Amino acid sequence: MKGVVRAIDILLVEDSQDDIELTLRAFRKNNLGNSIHIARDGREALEFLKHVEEGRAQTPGLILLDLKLPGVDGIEVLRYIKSRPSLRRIPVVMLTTSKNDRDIETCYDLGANSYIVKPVSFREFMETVKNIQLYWIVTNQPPVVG
Amino acid sequence: MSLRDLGIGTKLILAITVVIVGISSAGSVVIYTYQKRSLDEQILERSRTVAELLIQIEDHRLISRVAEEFNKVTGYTLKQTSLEPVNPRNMPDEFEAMVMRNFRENGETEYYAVVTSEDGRRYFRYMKALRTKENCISCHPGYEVGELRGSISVVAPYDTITAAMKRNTLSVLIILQILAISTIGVLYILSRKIVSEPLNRLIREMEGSAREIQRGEEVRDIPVSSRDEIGRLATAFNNLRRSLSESFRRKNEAIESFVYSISHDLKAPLRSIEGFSIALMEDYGDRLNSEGRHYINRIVSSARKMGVLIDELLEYSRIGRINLQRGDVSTSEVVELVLEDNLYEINRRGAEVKVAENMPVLKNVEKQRIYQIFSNLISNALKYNKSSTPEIEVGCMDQGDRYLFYVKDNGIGFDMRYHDKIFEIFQRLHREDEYSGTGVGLAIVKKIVETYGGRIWAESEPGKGSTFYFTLPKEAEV
Repeated sequence: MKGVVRAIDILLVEDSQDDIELTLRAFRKNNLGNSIHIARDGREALEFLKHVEEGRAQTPGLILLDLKLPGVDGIEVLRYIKSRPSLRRIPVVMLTTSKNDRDIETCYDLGANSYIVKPVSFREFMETVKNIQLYWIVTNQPPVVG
Repeated sequence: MSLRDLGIGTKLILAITVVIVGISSAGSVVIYTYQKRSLDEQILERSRTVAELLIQIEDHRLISRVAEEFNKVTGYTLKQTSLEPVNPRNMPDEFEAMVMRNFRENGETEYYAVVTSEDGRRYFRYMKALRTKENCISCHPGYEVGELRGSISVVAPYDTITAAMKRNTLSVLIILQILAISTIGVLYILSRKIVSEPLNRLIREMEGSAREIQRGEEVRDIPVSSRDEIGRLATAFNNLRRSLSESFRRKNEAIESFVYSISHDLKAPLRSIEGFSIALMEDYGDRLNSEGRHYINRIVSSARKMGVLIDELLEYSRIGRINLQRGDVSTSEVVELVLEDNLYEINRRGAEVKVAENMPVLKNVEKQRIYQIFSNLISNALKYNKSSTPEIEVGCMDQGDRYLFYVKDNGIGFDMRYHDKIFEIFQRLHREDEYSGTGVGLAIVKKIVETYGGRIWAESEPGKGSTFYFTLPKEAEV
């Protein structure tokens, strides 16, 4: 399988340093070799996405987006992505602690492709992150972007 | 029960009864007094009239005939009498003689009194003085004009006359009382219809509503069927209820979101502690000696334990506050489920579990909570057990409106001194390394049982096993 996997970049929008490191560790364990861009808040994410639109950065093939971010929050980032013609086909996976029904509905209404509640236990968290990467990078057939 | 505790309708009726009985009794006394007085006056008037009439008659024989006729018609006794009678028929009796002597001495012309005679009967007695007139002297020489010659005496049978009056008064009294009682009866029915029943219905609605509010459920308005005070009370209650349940709902939401964020905010760092410790072990474990690796394991297990504690605390805080799905729950199915979930441990320990045949179905309960009760008690019975073949017995007794359940084991037991302590949250009787646990299980069981209005207790002796008893209503209130 790994042979057919294209080199897809992943954009990880996450404000918790711990979660970033644990997520990267889970990705490393999968050994899929995606390069990861990290945005620590909504503003950084929007900046990066504008670079992508201007062609100054490679278009990511998957975006992992936290909902609760300092300043510009995940909903706003999601709204921006889904409103831009060159970005809106990129699969966006919401990865958050919120179980709130309103948040879930809003995200799907805005066109989120998946909504995942971060497991609180370490083992489940690692499993979930690994599964996300395997599913969206290996199992899922993404649209051609960029 | 004091007067104060009676219903409003009953109080009202009591007050009305007292007033009506009072009024009718007082009325009867007034009627009796008035009738008696007018009767007395009537007797006096009749006696006086006939006496004065007789005085006018000069013919003695005519007097006797008039007297006879009068006596026949009225039942009175009318006669002439004299202190020195010519005719022995006119001989005065004791009373007449006494009165006439007084007439002679003080010059009075009239006297009357009610006198009790020797036979015990009462008589109204009237006497009119008969004084010598000028035209008498021709027939009765030897008298001076104005000198007392004799008297007209009227004797009326007082008892007989008043008996009729008493009978009349009594019948009036009886009619009054019958009227009073039927009035009270009608008022009683009306007060039930108008006051007690609507009020009681309102109270029942309010109580039901209060229970629903207490449980934080969606509450409907209680019906307002009239615009009188009761209807206004219902409206006022609805308004109060709406604002109360709104604030309760907000408070409950605030608690729930607080509890949720606490559990998440506390557990996120725990995930990091556990995660980085595991990463450390995986990446650098081979460069640490066994002591170093031991420390990492301690960090990981502490982080996990804290995670469990937070979960249990979260669970404990939700009992009675968060409503789970309710319905009929078969306790025998629940116990079956608990045994399946503990199958590994039961087989490993070679435990023998006996479940009574008569395990009942509970109505309107939350299955998950009933599961938690049996699961905690049965796993405790397995855990605190050193016997080579642990024996567990689960049973039930019918106690009318409730069931008494028990979970009995042949485990290590405990000293009854610590009976209350074992049900307290975070209280344990054993060291962590003897028997693992957080000290929340029995506290959760107790809270669930008490939320359903039941009771839990245990009987035990060190080394002789324990029996945990708890009661649950057959049908839980909502």
